[in-house]
Order: sequence, then structure tokens, then C-alpha cells
Amino acid sequence: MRSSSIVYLSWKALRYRPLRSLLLIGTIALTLYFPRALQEFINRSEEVLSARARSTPLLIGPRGSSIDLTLNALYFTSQELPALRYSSYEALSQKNYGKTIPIYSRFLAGQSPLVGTSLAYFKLRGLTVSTGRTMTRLGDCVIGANLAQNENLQPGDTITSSPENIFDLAGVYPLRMRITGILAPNRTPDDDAIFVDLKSAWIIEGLAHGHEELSRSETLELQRDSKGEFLRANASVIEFNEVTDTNVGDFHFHGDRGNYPLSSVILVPHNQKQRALALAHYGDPVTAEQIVIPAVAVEQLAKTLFATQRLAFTAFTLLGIAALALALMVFLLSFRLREREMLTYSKIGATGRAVACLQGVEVLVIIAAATILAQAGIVLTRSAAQDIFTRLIS
Amino acid sequence: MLIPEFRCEAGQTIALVGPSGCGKSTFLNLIAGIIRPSTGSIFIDETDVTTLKRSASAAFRLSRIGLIFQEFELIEHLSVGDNILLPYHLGTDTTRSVIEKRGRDLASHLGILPYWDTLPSALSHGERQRAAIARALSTRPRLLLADEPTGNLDPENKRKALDLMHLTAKEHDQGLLVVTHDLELIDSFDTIIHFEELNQSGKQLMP
Repeated sequence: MRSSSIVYLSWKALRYRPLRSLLLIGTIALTLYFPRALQEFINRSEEVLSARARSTPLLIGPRGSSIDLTLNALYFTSQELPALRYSSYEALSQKNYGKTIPIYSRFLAGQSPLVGTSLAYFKLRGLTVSTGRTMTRLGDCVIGANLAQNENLQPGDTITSSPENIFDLAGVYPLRMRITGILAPNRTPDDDAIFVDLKSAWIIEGLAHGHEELSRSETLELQRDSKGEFLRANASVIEFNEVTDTNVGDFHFHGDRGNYPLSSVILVPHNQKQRALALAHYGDPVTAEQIVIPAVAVEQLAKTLFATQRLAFTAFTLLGIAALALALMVFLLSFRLREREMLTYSKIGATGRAVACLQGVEVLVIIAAATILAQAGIVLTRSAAQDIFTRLIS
Repeated sequence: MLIPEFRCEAGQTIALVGPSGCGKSTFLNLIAGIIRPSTGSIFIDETDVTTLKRSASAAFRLSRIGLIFQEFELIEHLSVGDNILLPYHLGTDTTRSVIEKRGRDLASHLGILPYWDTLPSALSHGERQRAAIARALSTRPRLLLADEPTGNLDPENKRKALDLMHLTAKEHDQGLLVVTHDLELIDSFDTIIHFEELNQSGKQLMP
């Protein structure tokens, strides 16, 4: 029997029962896809995690979970730890272990994390402004490429921070920020973030504000205490919710700057010796801060991921075996139902081998189509894994 | 079943008649090599088909014997054309173009050419029967074995189909052995055999 005829007759048989054929292809494809895709996803996620962690030499933050601290600094996840005092940052800078980059990642604008930092952060991450320029004034922000694309934002547009609690009058105020630049995409959480100067983040925190001049008589109330009489501004004073070139001079800070909050500080040591000194200093349990090597913290996280992967892999493998057994049964039942057709081939003059070939090619076509489909899915998963993982973790 | 001797000469047409269950279809399967006799020999031309191995027997059947089954035995997922071309697909020596030309001529003669690309499920019983006849004749076999080939045909098509089988048998020196209950048509055969007379065992195969 000619090979072309075997393929032709098998193809005709498969086409005649498209639903059965597609179901078999789908079932086998999914069976092959899930364990491999999971493996690809975990591997790629680990690579992504490790790459970002490796580019962050050391991290100093409040004591607590090193993984929470790392994820907040690297992926801008919600801040679970207490704030680090600005005075700690100043103390670290004075020790001159290396370059210090403050991170204050607590607020959101819509779903996007708002990160207060310095321009040194852009240099560390290799971020460049593709359109516009970096922030130069209070209330300026630079946004990631994804955010700009998704929200159709351009330099010159504004974006407003989200209040944390609308009933908390003394709490976080929404601040309308001027977008000065769009970052070039780099396929990291930076693509979805909004970057502001640390002081702008503190304005959102409520530690600084700007308001109209207290020249109107109705804005002032005469009050008295044990020291005597004094004038106090009342609630009719108009506070600015946007920094402009005309009102920027009216913004001012209150309280002790040393108590201002940060999430963490990235430390890029000058050299190995300074690195060792920093590790030794913050490794001392009496210090209020902890030092974290992000690569080590991520390794711990990866171990957890691997344990989960092993469980899921086992589950998928068992399900896969069951699905393949079912597919085999479908094949056998199908051939049994078509026994008469096979008998006709034999009666007309097909050898037993030719009939077996016809059945075998049908099975092979199904398996080949399922394998191609699964492989295509795996390639897609591999290419999308980084973005999916970044979104999931953020 | 005990058949002491049976001969069908080249170009001879034989009608085999007998009551249902007397073993006529089994006899055709024996001649075709689909089932083997417990003893004895069956020669087609110079070949004893009972000595052939299974694969050789299948190849012999494909090239030398045409079969028309009582239940048509068309492959449901193949079009009429592909069913007629089935012997080519299964490996007969004749080229595709030759088989296709013969098939189309036969289909045209039998009135089923318009259904060349149609699946058998869309055809009437009579049209399917005619497609099965065209498939069996397309290889120009040395021996054509037909089991009730006209059972599902109307009188006009019955006559047409039978005439075609007789014509090809005479033109190409084929032996034609037809099992039939249709006593109106058996006059056209060279020989009429009552299977009960042929079978010396005296046993009914089926009640």
C-alpha cells in the first residue's frame, strides 16, 4: 500500500469525525502542555526574579520578612513592613559604604505603584526616558512604558495619586502630578510604575503641603492658650492638590525630616570591602534595620516556587496519564466501532499490515497535531512568562 | 459444506441460487480467499489460493478478484469516487489514471457520476449498490464475485447493472459468479446452479 494513500485515507477518516479528532488533539495537547508550560513558567520566573535581584546588590530596610522587603523594593508590592526612617537613610549615606538609593513604595495611582526615589534609581536599572525628560520639580513624575501605552498618557498629561482612605481627612491626599517623561520599555515592573521625587511622595503622605497665603481675614482664627493669643489657619484655607510653577514656592514641609518614611534603601557598595562592612554593620541584631542580599532572598522564594512546582508537576503528570489513558480508550473504542470498515479493507485486498498502518497513521496524526499545538503553547508561554510573572507578583 | 468440484471458465457467467442460509455467501468468501477451506484446493487461473499466505492472498484478491457485497460495504468517510478508487489506494498495480477513467466510465454508465464527490450516506440504497458495482469492476478482475448485487435496485437499474456485468465479463474474459434470489434475471446467465445440489454435505449452514 502506498504511503501517500495511507496518509490520504487516514486524513479522510479524521476529517469525517472532526469533533472526535479535535477533542483528542485538544486533550492530548493539554496533557502535554501543562507540565511543560508550568516548568517553563517557573524557570522563566526564576530567571526574571534572579536577574532583577542580582542587579540590586544590597537592600536595607526595617526588620521583618526579608522576602517582603525584597518584593516591595524590586516589584513594588504592597508594603507590609513598618517604614524606615529617613534618618536611617542619612546615617547610611554618611557611612559611605556605597551609593544609596532611597525607595518609598507605598502609594498607588489607580492600579499603578507610585515610587518615590532619586534619579540614581534610573541609572541602577538602566532606565532611559524615551519621550520627554526626567522630573525636575516637585509634583513631576516619569511613568513606565506599559502604563503610558495602556492609559494613552503623554508628557504634559497629568496623573492623580489614589487616596488610601477617603474618610481620613488628615491622611493621604490625592496629588495631581505632571508627567514629564515616558520610560523606554525594559519588561520589568518599572514599565507599570510611576516614579516621583521622594519629596513628592512625602507630599502625598501629607508631610508637606501647599496652600494659599493666609492673608484673608476669614482664613484665620484668633485662639488662646496658656502662652497667650495666637492666630491659627482654619479649614477654609485652600490647599493645593497640584504643584504648579506659580504655587511651588508655597509648598513646605512640617515636622522632623529625620522621621519621614521610606520603604527601603538600595545600597550599591563601592567595593567588596565596603560591602562586607555594610553586611557586618547591619547584620548586628541590635541595629533597628536589616540588610538583605536580594539574590539570597529570591533564592528562598524560588525554593518555595520549586516546591509548589513539584506538587503541581506531580498533579499534572497524574492527570496527564489519566487523560492519555482516556485518549487511548477513545482510540480503541473508535477502532472497534470501525471494525466493519477495517474488515472491508481486508476483504477488498488490504493486508493486515496495511490496515494496521491506516490505524497507526491516524493515531500519529492526532499525536503530531497535539504535540505541535502543545509546543506552540509552550513557546507562547515562554515568551509571555516574564510579563505574566511580573504582573502576578506586582 | 462439501463441494466435490466446481468450475467457472473465463468469460462464463454463473448464477448461484438457493435458499437463505444454505452457504452461498460462505462459498463466495472461500473462493475469494477471505476464509479458508478445511481441506481441498481452490484454483484461480494457475494459483491455488488456499496455499497463499494471508498477505499474498490479500494482494491476489486485490488484483484478480472483484467483490460486490450484499451490504455494499462502502467506506462511509470516502466519497463515491474515492470508494471506486479504493483498490488503487490499497495498492493494486493499475495506475490511478487508468482506474479513475474506468471508474468514471462505469459511474456514468450506472448513472452515479454526478455523485462522484458525494459521501455514501447521501445516496439511496440503489445508488450505493451501483457504486459498489463500479468499485468491483474498476480493476477489471479475472473473477467477479457478487452477492445479491441487484437486491436494492429498481427494475431498470437492475437490468442495467446486470447487463454491465455480463458485458465486462464477455469483453474482458472474466468469470462472473453471482449469488441471487432474483429468478427473473437468471435467464441471462450461461449457467444456473442450485447451491443445494452443489453442496454435497446436505447440511444447512444456517437454520
